[in-house]
Amino acid sequence: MEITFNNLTLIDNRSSSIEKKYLENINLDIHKGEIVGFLGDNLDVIGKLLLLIKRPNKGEIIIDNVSIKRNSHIDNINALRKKTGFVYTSIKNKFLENSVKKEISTTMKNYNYKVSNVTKHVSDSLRIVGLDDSFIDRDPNKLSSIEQKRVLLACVLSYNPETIILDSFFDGMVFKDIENFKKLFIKLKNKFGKTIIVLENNPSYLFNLVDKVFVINNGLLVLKGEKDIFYNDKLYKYVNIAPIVEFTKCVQAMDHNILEYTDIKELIKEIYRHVG
Amino acid sequence: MIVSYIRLKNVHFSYDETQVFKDLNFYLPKNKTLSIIGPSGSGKTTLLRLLNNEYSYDGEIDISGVAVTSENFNIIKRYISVVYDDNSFVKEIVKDEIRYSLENINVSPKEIKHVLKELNDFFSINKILNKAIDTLTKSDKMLVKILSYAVMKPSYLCIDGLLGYLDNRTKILLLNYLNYKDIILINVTSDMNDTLFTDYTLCLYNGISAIDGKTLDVFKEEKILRRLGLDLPFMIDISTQLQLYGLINKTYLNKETLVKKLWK
Repeated sequence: MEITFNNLTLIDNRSSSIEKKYLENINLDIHKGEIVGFLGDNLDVIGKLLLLIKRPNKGEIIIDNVSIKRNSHIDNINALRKKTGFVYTSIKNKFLENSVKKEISTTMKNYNYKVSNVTKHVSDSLRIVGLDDSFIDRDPNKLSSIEQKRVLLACVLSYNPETIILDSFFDGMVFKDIENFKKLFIKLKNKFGKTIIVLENNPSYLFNLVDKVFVINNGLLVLKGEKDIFYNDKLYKYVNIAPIVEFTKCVQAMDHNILEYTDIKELIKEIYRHVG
Repeated sequence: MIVSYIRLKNVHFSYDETQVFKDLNFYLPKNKTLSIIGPSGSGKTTLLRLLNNEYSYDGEIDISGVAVTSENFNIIKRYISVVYDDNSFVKEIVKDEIRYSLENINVSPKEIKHVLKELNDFFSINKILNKAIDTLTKSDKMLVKILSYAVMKPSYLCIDGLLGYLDNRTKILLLNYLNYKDIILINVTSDMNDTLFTDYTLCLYNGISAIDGKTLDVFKEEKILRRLGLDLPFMIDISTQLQLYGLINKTYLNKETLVKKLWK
C-alpha cells in the first residue's frame, strides 16, 4: 500500500480553548513493504485517517492513488478500509464479544473475509501472536492488558490487510515480548510485503525494527530520518533518550571513538574491540 | 511519618476460572519503595487491585497492621491509592481534576490553594493548570493523573505502568515530590531501568513471587529473569556481560565510572 500525505492539516476545535492540533502541513510518503515509525503524541489520528474515520481539514491523504480530502466523495469506502488493520491502544472492556474466537470471527465477517475453516483460521491467527488454543474460549475483556493487545493484533491479522498500524503497541511489554513481536513484524514485511506503521512515544521500541522514522511534535513534522536518527541529538528534544544511546554518547564524550549501536550485544563487542 | 509496611501471607486469588495467585507471600519492610515486575499476565495489576481492596481473596494482606478487607475499607483507602493505566479523568480542566481529588477528602479552599502552589513549585504546573486535559501531551496528561492521586497523600501510591509515559525530567521531579511528601512509591513496570528508583523489587510469576528482595539483589538472578522473558536494567546488564568478558569485576551503576574503568 502506498500512502502519501500532501500538505495535510488536521486540527479539532480550531481557535478554541479545546483546540487539538494533530497534524499541520505534513508532507510524507510511506511505501509498500516499509516499516515506518512515528514518534510523538496523539498519533492514533494517523490510523483514523487511514481508516477514513477522520478527514483532513486541509490538504489530502492519498491511499493507492485515491485522494481523500475534506469533502471528497469516496466510491468504495469499504474496499479502502479493508486495506488497513488498526491495532488501537487496548482499553479495558472494549471487546464486543464474550469469547476470543467470536471476536476474531466477527471481525472477519465485518471485513467480509471468507475462509473454508474458521476454527483453524482463528487458531492460526492466535498462534502467530503468541496465544495458544486455550485462549479460544476465554472472554477477551477478562484478559491481561498485553493479552488483549495480542488478541487485537490477531483480529487484524485474521482479515489479512495490506497495512498494519500499531498504536502504542509495545507499551507495558517485557523484553522478550518486544523482541518476538519485532521479529514477527519484520517477517510480515519481508515475507508478505506488509507495510507496518508503528506509533510510539519511546524510541527504543523502534530500535532494530524500522526503516524510517517521522517525529511529530505539536502537530509538526520536526524531524525525519533512517536508523541513524537514534543518535541524532535533535531527537532528544522530543523524546526520552534510551540508556544505550546515552551510554554510547558518554563514551564518545570521553574521547573514545566507538561506533553507534542500538543492540547491547553489538555494543559489548565494540567495547571489547577497543579495550579487550 | 506513619510507619508503613505491607505483608502478604498465603494469598490465593482467582478471577472466575482463572487462577492468578496461589500461595503468594511477600513482605515489604517499613518505608521501603517497591517495583513490581513480571511477564505479561503474571498478575501485576491484579496485585494492585487486591492491595486496593477491590476484590476479596483467600489468605492475609495487611498494610501497617490493618487487614485489607471490606470492613477496613475506610482506613485502607487512606493508606493506599492506585493510579491505573487508563485514560479516564473526572473533569475537563487540569485544575478542576486536582481540586476534585482534594475536595473529596474535605481539604479547605485555602489549603487547596497551598497544594496548587506547591505543585507549581515542583512541576511548574501553572502553565497547564487552566488547560483542557484532552489537549495535553501524553506526558503532561499522565502527570496530572498521577498528581490527582498523590495530592491525597496516601501512605502508598501505586502507579500501574504510567511512569514510562513521563519524560525523564518529569519522572525525576515526581520521585522527588513523592519523597518530599513522605509518599511511598509502588511502581508496576515493564522497563527494568525504572526498578533502580525503588528499594525493593518483587517479580511475579505463575501465581507466586519468583524472586523478591532489595532491587540490586533481585537483578543478580539473571538466569531466572531471562527465563521469564525479562531483561536487566541497562547498567546492570552491560556490567554483567562485561564481567563475563573479564573486562571488569563488579557492577557499575554510574556511566562515567564504568567508562573510566574500561579505558583505564
